[in-house]
Amino acid sequence: MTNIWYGSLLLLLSCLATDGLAADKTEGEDTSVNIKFDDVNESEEPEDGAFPYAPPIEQLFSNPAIAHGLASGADALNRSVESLMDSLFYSILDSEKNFYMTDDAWFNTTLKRDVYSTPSGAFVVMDRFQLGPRYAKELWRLHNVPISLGIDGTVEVLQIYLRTDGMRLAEQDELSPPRRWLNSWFGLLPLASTVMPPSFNQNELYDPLTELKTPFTFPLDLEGFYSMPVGSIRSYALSGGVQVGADLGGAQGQDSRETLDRVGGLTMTVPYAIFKRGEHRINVLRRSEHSAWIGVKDLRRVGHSISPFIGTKYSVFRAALAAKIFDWDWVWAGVPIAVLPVDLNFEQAIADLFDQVYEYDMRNPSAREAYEAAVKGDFVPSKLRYLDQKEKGVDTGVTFHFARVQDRKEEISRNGPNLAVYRRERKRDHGEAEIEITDPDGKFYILESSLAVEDKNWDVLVGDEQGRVNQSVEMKVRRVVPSNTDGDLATGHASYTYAFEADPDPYRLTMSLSIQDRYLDTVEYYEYLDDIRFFTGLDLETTPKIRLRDPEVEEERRRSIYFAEPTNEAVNVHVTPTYLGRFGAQATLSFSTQQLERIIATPEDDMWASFARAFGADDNEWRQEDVRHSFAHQLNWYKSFFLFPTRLLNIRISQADAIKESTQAIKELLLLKTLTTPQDKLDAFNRLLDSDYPRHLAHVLLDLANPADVPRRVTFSAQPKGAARHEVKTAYGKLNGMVFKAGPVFPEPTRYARAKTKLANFYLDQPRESSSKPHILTIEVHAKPVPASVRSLEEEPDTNVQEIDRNARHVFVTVTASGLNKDAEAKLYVRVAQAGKIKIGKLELAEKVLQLAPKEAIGATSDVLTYEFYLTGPLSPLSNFMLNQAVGSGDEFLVTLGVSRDGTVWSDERALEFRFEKGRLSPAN
Amino acid sequence: MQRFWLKLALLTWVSSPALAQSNGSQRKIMFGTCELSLDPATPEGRENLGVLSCIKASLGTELVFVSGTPEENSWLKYGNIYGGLFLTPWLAVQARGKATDQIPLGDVGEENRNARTDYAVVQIGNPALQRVRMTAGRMRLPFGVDRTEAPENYRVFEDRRFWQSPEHGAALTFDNLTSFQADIGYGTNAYADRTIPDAPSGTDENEPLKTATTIRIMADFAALDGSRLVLSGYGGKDGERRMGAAFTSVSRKEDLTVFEFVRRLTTPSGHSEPFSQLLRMAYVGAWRGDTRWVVQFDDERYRFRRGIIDYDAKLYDHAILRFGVAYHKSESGDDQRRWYVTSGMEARL
Repeated sequence: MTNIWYGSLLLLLSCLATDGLAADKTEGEDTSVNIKFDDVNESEEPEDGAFPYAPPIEQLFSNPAIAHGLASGADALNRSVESLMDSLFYSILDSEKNFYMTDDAWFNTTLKRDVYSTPSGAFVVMDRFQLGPRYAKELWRLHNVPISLGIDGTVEVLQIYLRTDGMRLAEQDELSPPRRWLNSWFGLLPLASTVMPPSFNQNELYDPLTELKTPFTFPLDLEGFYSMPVGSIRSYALSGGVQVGADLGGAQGQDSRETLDRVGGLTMTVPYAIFKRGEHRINVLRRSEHSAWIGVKDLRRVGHSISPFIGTKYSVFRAALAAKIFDWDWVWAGVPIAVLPVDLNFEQAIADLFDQVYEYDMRNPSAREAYEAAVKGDFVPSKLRYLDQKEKGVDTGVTFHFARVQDRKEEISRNGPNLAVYRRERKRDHGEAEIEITDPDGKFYILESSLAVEDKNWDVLVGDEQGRVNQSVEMKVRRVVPSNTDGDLATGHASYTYAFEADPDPYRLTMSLSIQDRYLDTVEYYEYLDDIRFFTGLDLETTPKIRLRDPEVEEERRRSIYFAEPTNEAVNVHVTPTYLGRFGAQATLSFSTQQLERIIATPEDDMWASFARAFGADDNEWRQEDVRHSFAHQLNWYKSFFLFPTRLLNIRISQADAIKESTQAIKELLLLKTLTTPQDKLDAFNRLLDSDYPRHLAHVLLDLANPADVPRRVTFSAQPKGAARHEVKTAYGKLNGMVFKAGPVFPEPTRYARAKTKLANFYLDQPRESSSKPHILTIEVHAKPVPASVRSLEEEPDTNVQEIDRNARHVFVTVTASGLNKDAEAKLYVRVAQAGKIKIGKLELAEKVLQLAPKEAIGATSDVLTYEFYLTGPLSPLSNFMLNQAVGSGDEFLVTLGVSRDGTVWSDERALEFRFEKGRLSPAN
Repeated sequence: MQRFWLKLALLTWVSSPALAQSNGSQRKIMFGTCELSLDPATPEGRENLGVLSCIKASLGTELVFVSGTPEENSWLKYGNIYGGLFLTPWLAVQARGKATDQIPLGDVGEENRNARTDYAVVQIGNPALQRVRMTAGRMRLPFGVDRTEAPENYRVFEDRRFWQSPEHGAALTFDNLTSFQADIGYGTNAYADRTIPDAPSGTDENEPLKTATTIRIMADFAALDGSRLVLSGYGGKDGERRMGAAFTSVSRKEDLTVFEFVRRLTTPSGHSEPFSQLLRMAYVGAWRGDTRWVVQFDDERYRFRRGIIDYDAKLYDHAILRFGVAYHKSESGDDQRRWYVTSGMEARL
């Protein structure tokens, strides 16, 4: 009886409840939401002569993200993962199988897919197949240190192609139903995309059949070439090597083994190896519809390496899934996750590298013939056809770009703890090279010293942020053969030296800083700006000023948290710095010979003062020689010494290392005063660039030079994203395309720089000439009813005519775009998702490629075209149950759009957010 | 005791319209959702502050059906009431009481009633305004996240040993009001004549706690709209040691995601034992329209794995229907797997 009373009481209380205490609702005014996008200047040659800094030319045809993968074939590639969820799913398409022939020999097959994002929003998919024998045998064991021999040979095939959401959907329309189902994993992929977090990327898993076809995709004939998507690359390589190694970790004591094991099953290895490796690789790029580029690369490397490692691998979710089918028991092995608190690699090598690049117009029969020989490794027909064209004027369709021979000394290191959910990694590539290049104008020589330092921080929540500094000294030289070389030639020793070319600017130092962050908040934004100011000396005054934290959200929090219960303190998260979106910046400095000479001529005391300023020390003290020689000053070395072990964890403290860095750099600068020959200068510059603080070095050199005479340039890219208020996003969006310059114009590109610039065009996010890519200029959204001209909604003869609600208003989208064909229908990619961060699902409501005819051209000669469509309502081509439900109950929506002429080359994706509720449209909160 | 709390809740509810007077723009007595109308950090907002009170209450009932063992079906009634009196921006008094009554519908078990004061504290300093604050009285010492929105019948089996603390204590808080907060707590049972609160059934840990010290450090960062890392430590004079690590994220729409890990190293009696460990993952969706989702998973080492998916729908602004499906795999008792279906109704202020 009591229970009945209790239930009745509950009902009564519910009915007594009134709306009087509910928050007042305000009705927003109707408005339209529109965004005008800045058209970023994408011309290949900047108007002031500055050229983009390209990675070393040996990274032939490689995207920056995959450069290391092409070079080493190692599993060191970092997938652009945004969440742990990614790695759980994407490993489905990775497979490795070993077939053992003996205990020491086996056959390895690997099939792997990696996906990289590009600033334009497109993804680069790399499917890789490897096949080859392996041999590893322990030869001896000395005091628990195993000495082993390893031999391997590998055939590798890669296919690298662009993938956008628009391409994926457009392609679906042209596929047979079985293939369509297979590509989407029988419908599971779209379903997963609907419920998974925003980081889930369908392209990681889409179309598994293409990955399986990788071993058979190399375009050995014309048909194979034309089956390649425009902008894609096919590559195959034969590689192999031999190494003798010793695991020095075996010498550790039993106590340390047990300690590591207790900590969490950790193990330690310190393999040291002497190696010799070789690779022959052929790359084919479908540059445009009928244009093929073929590059060949031969690489020989001899060196030694050491790779200290402490860590282990855990299997997460092991046995979370299991099945029993008759007598077969299956238990899921889980997802392997590496936890590597210490993970280092250091390698020194001497490398001989040869590469050359030809271009073929596939409409020309001679070029086709030369192409078919070249992809099989025979470049003689290509050379003959090129000479026919150059010397006899015969149109053969074969163009020779360059050939290069290079002798390099390399120091490559990698350092960074990887804790599965957090990784902090530094890659460093330092070396010098003698380069002989042959291009259509003849042969020339370059001496080059370079340093590339890439810092990458990655965490499981927001993905990676990356900073890269490149420094390169290039010397224009000629070979000088001494008159009495007969003896040297007979003995095979080097018979030439180098002298500077008769050029007013024979050597030049170029420094560049590149920053990419996929998840930028306001704190990072200001840190990056400070970083760029420090590097370039530019004030960047007109960059957008954005409050660190949204004052409106802070006020809202204070109003509600005033009454916070003490037991809820742990979830009362402060207002964090505002998330702004994606960020990119590229800064370049260029020091001429004259400026470098000026730096070198600086008095030593001024050099010390400049380094002190860069590292935050007292420049007045460091300037004085007696202070520098004092005992107190020399004590600074202890800081660097005692903090050296922190480098194992990739932690560096600049103040502690200031004295070490300054001493080394000043020593080389002073030495450069006395050196005259190119080789001696090259060695000294190489040691000068050998720094762990390249940003500080750039700051010092700029300080010692006359900044007004140093060409400097910064270009920003910004893509507003996330839940920030419209005003904040608009302010941040203004950063996109901003360029800051100072000093004289950059010099005209040298022949070598021109080759590098040409190579930069091969980055995979630019599958065709950028001018051919369409661009979305504006998107406007407003609410309007179904036009009076529409009398019924009957779509099929046997369906009933629906009643039209003439008062209801629906979301209507107007898009203007350039680069489309006004005489044909354009493809418009549309994705609608609920806006905001929903932690267990992004709630994708609709995704489709529409074919729309343009409304009108703006101006008789303009190529700006307008397209319109209903996003919601009975006339919406996107209408489905989920979208209609969401529209019916009112919500905030995120609409992503892209346009294309043909479904292959797409514009950059653009997105906008708005709120639509009961026919009222307003900007998103 | 239970009747007292129920009567108090009913009285509060019925009298709420009469008490809901307002003075200017700021309501002096608030019910349910309590929020200032002006920013208290501004001069206007400070002028608008006075003696303010906030009252929250809820009553509910839930039916639990156990698949395969209908004799374990049960009915749960519960209620809780909260009152806060905010005398000045520097001084507040807050208290919350809870009562539950679990009635078996089958032959297994017996009625289990429980009514208690969750906390009753004096708070010096306010989290919206002051960097240094102190809370004292009957309270839970700051440790971990210790928060769940799962249905009450799921909470009944929560192993409170991972968060329990002496009943009386004080906590000192340093909060930089932007990104960092540290709490240090000290508690004692010297003034309590009772055993461990909420000791899980089947355990023999019912000896009184003595004194304990806790520390909790919280750092916020911008990922996923706003996230927080929570690191906690607990040390009892009786030898118990606990450490906790948690991650919470609150979206701009108030979706809450929690990952919490707690390891308990010794028994309260000081005898060492193999450690016990809890891993909790929880998602509490924001109210979207009239519905929300609650998902929670708990894994206690060598005891159980259990989880629930719960769907809540508002009938009116103050009445909620709850429907959930839960799974419980025991690893210490009968080693059985059980599926539960739970449905309930709750009235809230």
